[in-house]
Amino acid sequence: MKIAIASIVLLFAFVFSCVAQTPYSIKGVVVDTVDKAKIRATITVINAKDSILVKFARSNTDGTFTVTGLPAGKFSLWITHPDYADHTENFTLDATNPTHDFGSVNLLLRERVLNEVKIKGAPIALRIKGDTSIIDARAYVIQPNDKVEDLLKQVPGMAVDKDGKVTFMGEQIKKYLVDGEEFFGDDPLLVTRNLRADMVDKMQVYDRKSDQASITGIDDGVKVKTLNVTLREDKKNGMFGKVSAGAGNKGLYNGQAMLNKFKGDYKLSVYGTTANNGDNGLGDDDAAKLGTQSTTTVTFDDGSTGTYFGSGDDYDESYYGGSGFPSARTGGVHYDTKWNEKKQSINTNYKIGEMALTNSVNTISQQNLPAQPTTIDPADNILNRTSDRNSYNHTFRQRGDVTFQSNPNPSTSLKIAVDGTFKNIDNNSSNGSTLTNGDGKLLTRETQTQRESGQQKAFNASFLYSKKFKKPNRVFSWNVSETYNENTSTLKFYSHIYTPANTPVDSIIDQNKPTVTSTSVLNSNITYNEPLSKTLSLGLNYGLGFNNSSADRESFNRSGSGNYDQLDTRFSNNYKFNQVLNQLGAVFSFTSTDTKTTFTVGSKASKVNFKQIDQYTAKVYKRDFINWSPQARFQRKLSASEFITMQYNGGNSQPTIDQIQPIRVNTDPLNIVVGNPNLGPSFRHNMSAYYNTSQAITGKSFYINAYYSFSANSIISNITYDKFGKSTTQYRNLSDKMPRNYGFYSNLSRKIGEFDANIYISINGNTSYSYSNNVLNQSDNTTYRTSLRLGTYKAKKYNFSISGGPTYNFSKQSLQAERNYNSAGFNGGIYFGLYLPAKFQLSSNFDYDYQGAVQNAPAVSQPMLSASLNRSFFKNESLKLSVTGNNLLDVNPNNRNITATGFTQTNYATIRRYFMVTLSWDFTKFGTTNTPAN
Amino acid sequence: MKKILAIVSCMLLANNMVLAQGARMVTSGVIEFEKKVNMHTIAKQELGTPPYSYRVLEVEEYKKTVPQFMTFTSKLTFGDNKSLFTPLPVSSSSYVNLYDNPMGMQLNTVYADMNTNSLVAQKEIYGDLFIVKDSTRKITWRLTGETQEIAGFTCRRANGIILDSVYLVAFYTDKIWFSGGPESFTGLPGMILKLAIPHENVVWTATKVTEQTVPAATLAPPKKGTSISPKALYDKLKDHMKDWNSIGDYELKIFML
Repeated sequence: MKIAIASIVLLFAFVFSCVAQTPYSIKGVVVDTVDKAKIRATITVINAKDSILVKFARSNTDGTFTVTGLPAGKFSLWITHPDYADHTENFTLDATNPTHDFGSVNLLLRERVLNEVKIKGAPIALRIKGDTSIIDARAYVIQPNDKVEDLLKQVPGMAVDKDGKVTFMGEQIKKYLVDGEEFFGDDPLLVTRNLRADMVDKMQVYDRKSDQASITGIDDGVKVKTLNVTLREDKKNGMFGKVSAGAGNKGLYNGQAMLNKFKGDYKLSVYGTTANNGDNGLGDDDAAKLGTQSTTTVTFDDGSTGTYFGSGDDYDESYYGGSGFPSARTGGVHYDTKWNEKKQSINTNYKIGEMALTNSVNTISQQNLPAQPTTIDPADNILNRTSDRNSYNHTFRQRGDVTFQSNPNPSTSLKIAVDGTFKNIDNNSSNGSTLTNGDGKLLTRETQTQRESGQQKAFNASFLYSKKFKKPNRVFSWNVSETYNENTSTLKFYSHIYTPANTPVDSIIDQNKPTVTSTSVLNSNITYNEPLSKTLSLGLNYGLGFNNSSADRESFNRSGSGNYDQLDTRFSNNYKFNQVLNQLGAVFSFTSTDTKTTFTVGSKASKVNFKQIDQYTAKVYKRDFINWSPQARFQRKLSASEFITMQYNGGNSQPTIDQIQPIRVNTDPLNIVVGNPNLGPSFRHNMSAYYNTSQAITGKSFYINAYYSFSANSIISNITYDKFGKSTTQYRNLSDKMPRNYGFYSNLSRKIGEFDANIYISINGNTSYSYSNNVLNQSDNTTYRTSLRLGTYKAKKYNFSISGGPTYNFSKQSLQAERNYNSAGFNGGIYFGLYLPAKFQLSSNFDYDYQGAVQNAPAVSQPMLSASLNRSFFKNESLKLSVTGNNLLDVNPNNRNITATGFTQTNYATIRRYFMVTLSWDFTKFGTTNTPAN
Repeated sequence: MKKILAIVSCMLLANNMVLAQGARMVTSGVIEFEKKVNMHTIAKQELGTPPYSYRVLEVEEYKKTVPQFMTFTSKLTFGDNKSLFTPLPVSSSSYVNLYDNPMGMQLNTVYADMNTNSLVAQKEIYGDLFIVKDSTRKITWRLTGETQEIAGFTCRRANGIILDSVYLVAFYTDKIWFSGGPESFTGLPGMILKLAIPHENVVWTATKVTEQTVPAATLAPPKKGTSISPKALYDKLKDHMKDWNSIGDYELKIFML
């Protein structure tokens, strides 16, 4: 028996000395407090912070113990014996105290509470697994009636701005799914501000590939940062919703109603909102939806980026960004259901909305030109422009979509999606601008009015079929999509330009401009994946695309009769465009036998035949080109939670037709674009790498990413200014210099005492080139940003967070080496929420944004303070009355943009300070809605 | 009859009580374990992602006809710093294991040698017998203050993570000076008398602890089977199940536990 025990002790000594040859150790003797008898007890060493078992041993017959091979750190010693009360004691091992001698440890024959050991059984807040970050909702504080957004705000590395846009690890989340399903056409706020936090089980953030890529495994490069909210099984049956109404000073109001019914096989949601305080809550990023792809659509990178028709869609955003005075009414219905043992499903949405925006914008900009030999007055090398623009925009929009999916058996899947959008737009604006030189001498003055009314229609239909074969990794897929857009509009345009140095001094345009454009794009993409060996497979694709478009733009001058019936042939045109694209691609994928390493390499080649027909002159312009897009990706799993990824992709960028042969327009007479038929394609190389690691047990995570891209033979602009300040733009290729972009982002999260701490550093920079009056200008910009966030909370007591950090922007122009636009800035914020007696809650949010002064542009300082006091009623706190004060410091926001040759500063009208009283009621019908214990 | 039962249980209890009360530490003996599995829940793990519809129907039918919980028995013999965990055959007639779920079986015979910190596990996988030699498993244990009485022993709770992601809850007693436990679960400062894998719907509980001397001959590693390293086994299984989507991932995890 003695031998056995001795061998156990020896064994542990042996094991530990093998594990880590460290100088740290502890020793002592265990004795009975009363009779000083030697006790043979179990000696356990755990981390003081998280109670993780580090080492254990047993004391000898003489009560002595030693534990060697310990690391440095703070620990708890835990001496246990069935008959004695536990003895716990904290100790620290470091370079100055490599050995801790506990001396004689007395054990008592009585119970004792383990109050010195901190036990934290909380679930792991954030785990990073490969490309996916998993957020466990149970690790966060969820108050009654909290929404998903309140949960997201607590996640390390996640930032939610006041408009509800969510950024994770520096990248904006673009797509939102609920249980993997689209919800209201993935309108983010309908997910984040509608769904209840207590319904959430987990959330995952990952790069979503296109449907075809995720089925076939052939990467087509399309990736969207996606947040998937997984609901708790027990919360999928029930009804919940919210009704709220608010009234404020300045005639402001806000009303919302939402109802959701979830039941095993279906989800039904209905909402309606009306507001004029910009907090229309359920806004949607419509510009990204109209006429663009549904998720199954094939997108070919044919290199000919840019639109064939100048879009005129600049104000087409139903999303309120804080500028102007909005009023919006929206409503929608979502329904999805599955049947036939979930083999078939339908997901359908209908949305209707009306938005009006009244705005007034003041812009100041400065442009610095290189010294010209022809210029006598050096003051002419500086152009100062001020403009005042008043506008009213009104949009009425309806959108409906249906997606049908069928998986008749595990190897076959079929998806058909159809959507349609109708839009009526009215845009009115008046604009007055003045251009002066460096001495304040007037060069030109322009007054302009525009009244545009139009209709837009967009239809998309797509079809995706895929089949997996018996042989592993053998997959076939076929995707067909059709997109049709039609825009009809009439623009009444009036412009008066006064140029004192010119003869005649006045130039007037008074025209009526009807425009009809239509685009029809039909794409087909077939992919086939064939396993070549156990580790290697080959993916092939063939794509065929047809783009048929037409653009009929007419300009009519006013005749003597007062009607606009004289066709101005200089600014009228009617073009037809035909484009045929043939694409072939091959990608090899290697996965090591241990599945830890994956490597893909391949390329696609697209042959594009482009034809433009001028309907007036029957002139045909043809262009044929081949685009190459090589790609490579390497990923290695270093351990279960440690990954490294590197990727490269490259591609041609063809000049747009507007750069080669622009359509003549006179809506911006002071800025003219001239074509360059000799333009060639540019080639862009993108490289990126990232590394992430997360230590789940201790809640630490570290993420780092970097990218670098550069372009060969890039297409850059050459802007020449005449002595009246009129600019003429022409594009050319830059052969001997390469513009580049680079960036770096790193994020570290961990717990420090009671605080969740998160720090990030980001560096973004670029070098770009442009010609100004035929002289090459090199512009170097680098922005450094770092921010630290500390947050702490105590359930039902308080919630506090503070974040902030400096920003430095270095900006240099080779043409004006003596000037710099370097500036320092600061971004920060403080949030607190306090639970007061009698169900009162007080919260306040302060955001501060500061940009230092640069040449001729004053510093921008924007302190935004808001506060809210609310009281909950009823046991489940479902009824809430709140008083909110917004923009308490009554700041008028503005923003500044530094360009290659100067800066632009914009001041816009906004609602500013206001107060609002809101009554809201959250209702639920689930089994339970108790806050999880934390 | 009742009397006899009462006497027997008193005797059993007394036996355990004696063990538990004495200051003497237990270093050898035999522990009987009971593995309790929620057969209905584990069947859902075999549905696939997205679920195979025919399996959804089968599982519904299965749930109607087969009891929800199934109990398996096993014994752990330990002494001389070595232990052998042996499953006992199933005797129940109502035992139906849908899709041969590995969690619904007892596939492992495990020999542990604490002198060399090594394990020898005999695994029966899809009809093949493998002998897997490994070091004792890496489990990150976090001790909690919670205690529970199991088979007459006061046990302390520890939460663990094995295979980087599988959450374990163990109760161990420092009264038994042997750092072992059922299957391959070891590494606590005492014997594990209860081990649950909550997310896998399984729990092993000691029903009886008998202190006795154990002849060295009874503590021998299993021999029959193809020798294979844990990594090679993992790769082999991974390759075998690579088209099974989530079912493969699930079964692989269970086999590697």
